Amino acid sequence: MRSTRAASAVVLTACLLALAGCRASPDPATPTSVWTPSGSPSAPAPGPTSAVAPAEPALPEAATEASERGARAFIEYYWALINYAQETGDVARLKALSASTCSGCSAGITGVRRLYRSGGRLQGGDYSITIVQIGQLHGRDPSHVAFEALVRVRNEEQHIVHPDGTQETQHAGAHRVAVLAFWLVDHWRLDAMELRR
Amino acid sequence: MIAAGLIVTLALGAAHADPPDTGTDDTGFWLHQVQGAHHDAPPPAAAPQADQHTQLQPAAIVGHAACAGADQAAGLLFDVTFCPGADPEPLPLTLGAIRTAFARLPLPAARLAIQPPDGLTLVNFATNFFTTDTHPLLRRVTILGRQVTIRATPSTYTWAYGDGERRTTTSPGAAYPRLGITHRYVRTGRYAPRLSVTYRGDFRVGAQPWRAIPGTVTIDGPPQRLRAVEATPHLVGY
Repeated sequence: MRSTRAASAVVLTACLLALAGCRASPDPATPTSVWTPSGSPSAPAPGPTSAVAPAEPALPEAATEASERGARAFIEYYWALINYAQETGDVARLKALSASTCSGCSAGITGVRRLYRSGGRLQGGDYSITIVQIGQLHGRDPSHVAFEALVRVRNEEQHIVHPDGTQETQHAGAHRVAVLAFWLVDHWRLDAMELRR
Repeated sequence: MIAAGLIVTLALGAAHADPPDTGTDDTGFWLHQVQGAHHDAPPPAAAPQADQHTQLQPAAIVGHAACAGADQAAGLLFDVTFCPGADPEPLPLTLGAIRTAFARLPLPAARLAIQPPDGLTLVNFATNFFTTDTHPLLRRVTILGRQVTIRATPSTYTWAYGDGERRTTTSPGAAYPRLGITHRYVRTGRYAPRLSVTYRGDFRVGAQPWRAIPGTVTIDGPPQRLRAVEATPHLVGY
């Protein structure tokens, strides 16, 4: 007779490595404390779209350095923000870049905010500035970086529309303003603003 | 040349001369407010005081302000006092802030390996699960202006086998033949097993010792495709 030998086998190939379906997750960049202005780049809309609300001025690149050039750029930027605030009532960026001890800054910010919140507004009155004198203040500690500047400010004619609808006109003028820019780790702040005679 | 010299002289002189008169003293709205603040200001004798509660950041204060560690500078326009701020740190570094930063860290999911490979296993067979992502991860973050290093260490692994069963282990399992984490599927079918890794955290500021961060962060991995089939006997004759 035939002898039959049967063998059954379940063959299971146990291969190594089945690294399937893993999520490719590149290491995220290390967060850093770069100060980024939140204002959108100013892109003046000409012509028929000029009725669109003005864009907040963008921080110039030069204003991010702790130098005289940086202080100049910051002071010019600050005045651009003042014009923007007068036109829109938006004082958020100005407030962020002003020291709480700067009474002149606070007065301007509070005045604009109150006027707009109560239903008033400002028309015209843009300031244009020329920095006529700037110098660094030196204390004992060289880590303190501060620049004082005398700024010649020209204001255009302006109509102040009060909440009750009455209007007041401010004529064009020119004045001198002393300002103090103080460097804080990675950005400038205005620490003083005074009208000078 | 003479004309150029005159222009320079005039330009320099402008720093001290009054600006050209436009026939009005109107300042515009903003400067009118500034002027008002100036008039309302206290007399020089009462110099502004650095408020120890609100003056958290360094400041250049006009006048002789009273603040600890004051540094003074005299300029042409202002005499200022540099105040370092009430606290040398902008804001105190709290455990809560570190915990929040830990929870927001973009930590990776652990890669799930299954044996047998290729998404196919057998019913009633010890299917092997493991991961090799077991090493602590270091991340450097800035919290309230300070550099903090966070170390995230995988502490537990939750294996969801896709058939309703799950298991949490401290072991990451091991590759065949050591078989640390295995599961037997009792029915044929398609399953979507997945691995979640739970990290515990430590932090340190500069070279200070490591400190534990309360709480953990769990990152769910993506589901994988796995089919459990019945073994087919093959008769082999000799």
